[in-house]
Amino acid sequence: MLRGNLSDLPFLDLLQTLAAGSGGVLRIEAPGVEGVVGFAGRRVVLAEALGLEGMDALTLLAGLRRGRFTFETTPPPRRNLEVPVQALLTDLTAITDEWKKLGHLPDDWSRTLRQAAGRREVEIPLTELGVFAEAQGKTIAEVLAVPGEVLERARALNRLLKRQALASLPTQGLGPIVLVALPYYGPATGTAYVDHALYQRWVERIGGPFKLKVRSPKGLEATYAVEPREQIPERIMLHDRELRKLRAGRGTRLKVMPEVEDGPGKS
Amino acid sequence: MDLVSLNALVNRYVWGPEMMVAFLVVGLYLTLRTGLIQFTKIGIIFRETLGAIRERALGASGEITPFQATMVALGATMGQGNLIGVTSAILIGGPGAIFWMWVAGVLGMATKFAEATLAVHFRQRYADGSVSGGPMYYLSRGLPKGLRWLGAVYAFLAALAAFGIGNLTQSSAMAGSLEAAFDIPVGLTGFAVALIAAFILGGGIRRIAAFAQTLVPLMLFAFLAAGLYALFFHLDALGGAFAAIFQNAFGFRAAAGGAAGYALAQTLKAGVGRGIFSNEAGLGSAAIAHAQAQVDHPVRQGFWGVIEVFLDTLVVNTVMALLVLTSGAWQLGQSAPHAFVAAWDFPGGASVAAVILALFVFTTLVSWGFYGEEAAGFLFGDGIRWPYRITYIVFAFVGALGGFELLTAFADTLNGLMAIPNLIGLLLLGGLVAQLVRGFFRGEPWQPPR
Repeated sequence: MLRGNLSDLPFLDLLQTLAAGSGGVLRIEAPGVEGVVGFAGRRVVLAEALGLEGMDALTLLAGLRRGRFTFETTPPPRRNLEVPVQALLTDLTAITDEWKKLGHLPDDWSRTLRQAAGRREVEIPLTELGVFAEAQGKTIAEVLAVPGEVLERARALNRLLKRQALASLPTQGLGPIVLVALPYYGPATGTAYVDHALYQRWVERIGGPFKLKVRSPKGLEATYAVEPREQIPERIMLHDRELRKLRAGRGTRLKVMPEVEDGPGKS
Repeated sequence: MDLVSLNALVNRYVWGPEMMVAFLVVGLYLTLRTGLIQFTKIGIIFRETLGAIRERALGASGEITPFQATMVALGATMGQGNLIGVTSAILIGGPGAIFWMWVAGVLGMATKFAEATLAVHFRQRYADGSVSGGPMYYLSRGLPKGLRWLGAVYAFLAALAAFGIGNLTQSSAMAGSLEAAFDIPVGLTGFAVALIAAFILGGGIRRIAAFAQTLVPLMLFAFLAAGLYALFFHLDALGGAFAAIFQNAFGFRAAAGGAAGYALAQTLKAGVGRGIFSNEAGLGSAAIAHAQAQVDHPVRQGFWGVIEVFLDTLVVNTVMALLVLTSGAWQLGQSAPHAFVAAWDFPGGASVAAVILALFVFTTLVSWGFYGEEAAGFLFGDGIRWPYRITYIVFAFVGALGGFELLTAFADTLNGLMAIPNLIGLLLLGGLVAQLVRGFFRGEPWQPPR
């Protein structure tokens, strides 16, 4: 098995190296992105990343500047492509050059995008307006992963970030995390309470308004406003009635993830 | 009047009908102040306690989980009183005594709820994260300035009473029971009890809690399994037993006139007395354990107080009473300890009874060791803990040998006296308990006192 990091061996060089072998499966794990490339002889026969397939997936993976990879000489589990490696390398060289120009796009594609803070006016071309509107609260990887538009969207994002129309915020450590349910009673306010320290950590990372998405073990989901409360580490307090709607109760382990709300935040 | 006669006189009062009325009045008062919490919120109480025991601890301030705290309290509460005491109540007051035991138990739920709630609210937090609490703390921190000395009085009584109700009595009962059933020398039992108690108490509340959370549920399960097995042999008498409980509750079976009044008084006294003294609601002792729980709001621990009384009086005492009634042991003309053994009317029943009694009294001994140590620590500081533990362990050994009737009698009186400052405190702090309950059911966060 071969292991390494794309920061030491870029994707294009990695493909060149692996093309000399008889075949196998390359798996890539980068912040916000997971991908797989399959080789058979001197041909690439599988490419998948974030729901994208084929050339779209390879285009996306070519843009990664860091991320762990592993290569195993096992046959690819399925096929969705038939391209000789040499031909692919020619195409990917041009694509990689395009990615290199996008200096404002962060390496970490798990970062969340939101409208940048401040009241100054920013001119956004009509062609980028769609991406700008769609990007709010999503990760960079989510915005990029659209079939046929990967590079185009990357360019748009790069420009929006350069003009500071958008800001990207780190989301590592935000979740999903597991918290244990604790009911509260009285008027149902639609608010979830988490421990003060956890709330502060989220506020510092997100830098703006956010809600809390809660998923029960039975797969039921709901989103709540969130407020801090003292003395409830590792707990989430939800109204008794809300817990019942989730088919949960005191002691149920709930998956919790903050969701960035639309609106300006700090960059 | 010599000291022994004085003790006997005080003992008659503190365990007499006057105090029973005081227990009931305080229970009724707290039931009303909390909006009949043991009835109106019973669903929530069960969901928050027995329905949630699988969960981990709340990470809030406190030493042990709410479940562990309750098991420590239940370990102390469930002792001889639930077994021989219930048998004795039936022998003295007839089957109707059980009805009044239930009534006292239901009122005791509100009392214990208030004790556990106040114990958490007024507990003392230390820089190392440990806590101490119980009646001595809520009396000394919660009462008006002129009455705060009651906290020290309570601690003094509890620290000494622990040697009697928690130690000598239990150790002696265990040794006697194991000797009768298995011919185990009392000295050997005493040595084993002292050794195991030393190991558990030496580890502080965390080790006591770890011990209680394993042994108390096991003990409860063993009792219920053996009890239901024994009842299986007398299924045909079960309906009659329940009928006797209700029919005799108001002395219906007694003759008219003075005799009827006497029968009712006896039944009431035996039943209410057993109800009160078996679950210890009003004595305040269990609050010392509840104070240790990791909870975000005192009311949540109060719920465990309700469950503690439910398990003690409505479950364990009821099963014991049914065993005595269905087996006919109460009509054999025997003393309570012998009738208790006779109630386990199946092959090997006497041995099972001895083991169950040994388990019940041992958990009481351990938990009361902690109560006494906490009370002594309140009075003299942490330096007293190890000397207290060592003395307690020595008493556990010598208690098994017997011959401490006088000392036990004094400790029994001190135990009864503990209720006086506690009941005064509960009456005066009932408004605060009601306020905490209202806040909890409005979803408000708990604000600990400064």
